[in-house]
Amino acid sequence: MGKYLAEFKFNIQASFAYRGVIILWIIVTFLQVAVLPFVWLSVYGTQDSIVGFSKSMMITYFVLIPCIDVLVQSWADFEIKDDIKEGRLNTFLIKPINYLLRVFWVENGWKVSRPFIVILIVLLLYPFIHTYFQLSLHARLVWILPAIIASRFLNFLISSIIGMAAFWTVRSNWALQIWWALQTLAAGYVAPLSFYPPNIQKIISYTPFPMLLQTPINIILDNISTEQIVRQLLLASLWIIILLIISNFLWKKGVRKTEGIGM
Amino acid sequence: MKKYFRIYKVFVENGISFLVQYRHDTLFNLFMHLVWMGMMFLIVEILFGQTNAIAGWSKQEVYMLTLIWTLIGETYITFFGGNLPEIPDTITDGKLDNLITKPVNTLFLVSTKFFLVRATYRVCTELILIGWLVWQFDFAHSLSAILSCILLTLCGVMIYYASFLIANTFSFWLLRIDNINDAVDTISTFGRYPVSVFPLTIRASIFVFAPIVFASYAPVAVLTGKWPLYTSLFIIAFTIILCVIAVKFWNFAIKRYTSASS
Repeated sequence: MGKYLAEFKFNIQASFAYRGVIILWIIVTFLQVAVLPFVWLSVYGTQDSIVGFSKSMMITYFVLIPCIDVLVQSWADFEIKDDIKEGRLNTFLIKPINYLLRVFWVENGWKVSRPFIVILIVLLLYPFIHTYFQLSLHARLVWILPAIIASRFLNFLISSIIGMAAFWTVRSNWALQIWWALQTLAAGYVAPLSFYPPNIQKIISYTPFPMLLQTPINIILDNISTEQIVRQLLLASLWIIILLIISNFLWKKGVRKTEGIGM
Repeated sequence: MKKYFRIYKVFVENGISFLVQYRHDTLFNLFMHLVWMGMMFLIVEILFGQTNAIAGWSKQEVYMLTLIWTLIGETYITFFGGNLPEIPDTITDGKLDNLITKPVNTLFLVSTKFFLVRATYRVCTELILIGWLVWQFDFAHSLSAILSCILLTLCGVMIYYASFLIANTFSFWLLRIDNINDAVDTISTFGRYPVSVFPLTIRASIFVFAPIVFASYAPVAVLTGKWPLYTSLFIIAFTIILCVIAVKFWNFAIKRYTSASS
């Protein structure tokens, strides 16, 4: 475990070292938080509520998206794809470390600095959105930590499986694009899933997508019952086990196949 | 000038050769583009599932905005999308030294070397969809509105070029800003929503600091009559000024370049 913690600490330092990257990320996240609330305010018009979401809940929902996203999002797909294509993977295979665990802890290192930046952005936006931005303390908040942990694992496992497509095809960007498209639509980045047709909601409810983003946000908004939270967590646990098996299988197959191209 | 045309012809031929090598990849890219367009339309449907208008824009007008936004993006990608994002690596890997020593304008080389032929398929798809939308919903009030829209769409492509060029020129001074293209790309995605959803002060700020967001808004606003025709002149003037600033900034950077490594 010490070697992974060393990677974790090193990448915390790296995340603070490149200030240009941080500044750009602040600008982009600020705009992402700022744009969609205005679009939805325009959609609401004179309506106070749409499918159970009041204006305040909707604005708070979109402000919370980057807050949760920064904690749970994974870019292991890019990392793994690039390491395979450029031959760097082979240098890790001969080392006494688990490559996927290493990628997981590298990401965690980069995630340490991000929440502070997101909080800064929300504070900058607060004078403009305080009328609508509403959070409250409630008993179901105790579920937020397990929800975020489950979401983090799900994001990482799905992302790493996508990245492993590079073992079998040189041009694997298509897999990343499909994953990005599905995630954007089905995880709740565009709108809460309640806005989708009921039959689509039912299909999505059996997938891991609601747990990636929507469920943690609904817990904070107190827009979900305890029974639904428990159901989601149990479903997430099942998906984590399934994805672990798939990930392990694909990794073993892929490592046997890899030729070290790009070295 | 003839020299540059001959060189560009070679670049286009190289682009076609690349396309022929990866035929399946090209077809798959076209398929993924259609999937992605379907996703864009689904987002519009989700928004308009709850309302008839967003900031005075009807569903058809927002569809047109989405299509023009995509058309501008894909046209930019065809001519410049494979080139400008490579500028940071070109500088840090020392490849710029090789380009500077050639008897051709360096900006021309870094801007046009890769011609992405596969993006032309996507441009054609957008043009067909736009044509169908204009015919189906009778957008255009006059021929001059259509011509202004076409002209402003080309201005949109140049606004994209200037924005990405300015952003990537910063890599002469900032060592690691490889996410700058992702940043500009993310900012440009806001152009698929009507900018009139924002309060006036925010709109003015976006126009000054992120004009790329207006690149698709202007042509559709003129086409649908939301902006009077004469505003086209202002947009054209703005585009010229922005391009001049981008080129001057690049020249300023090149004059002070002392080589990263080669």
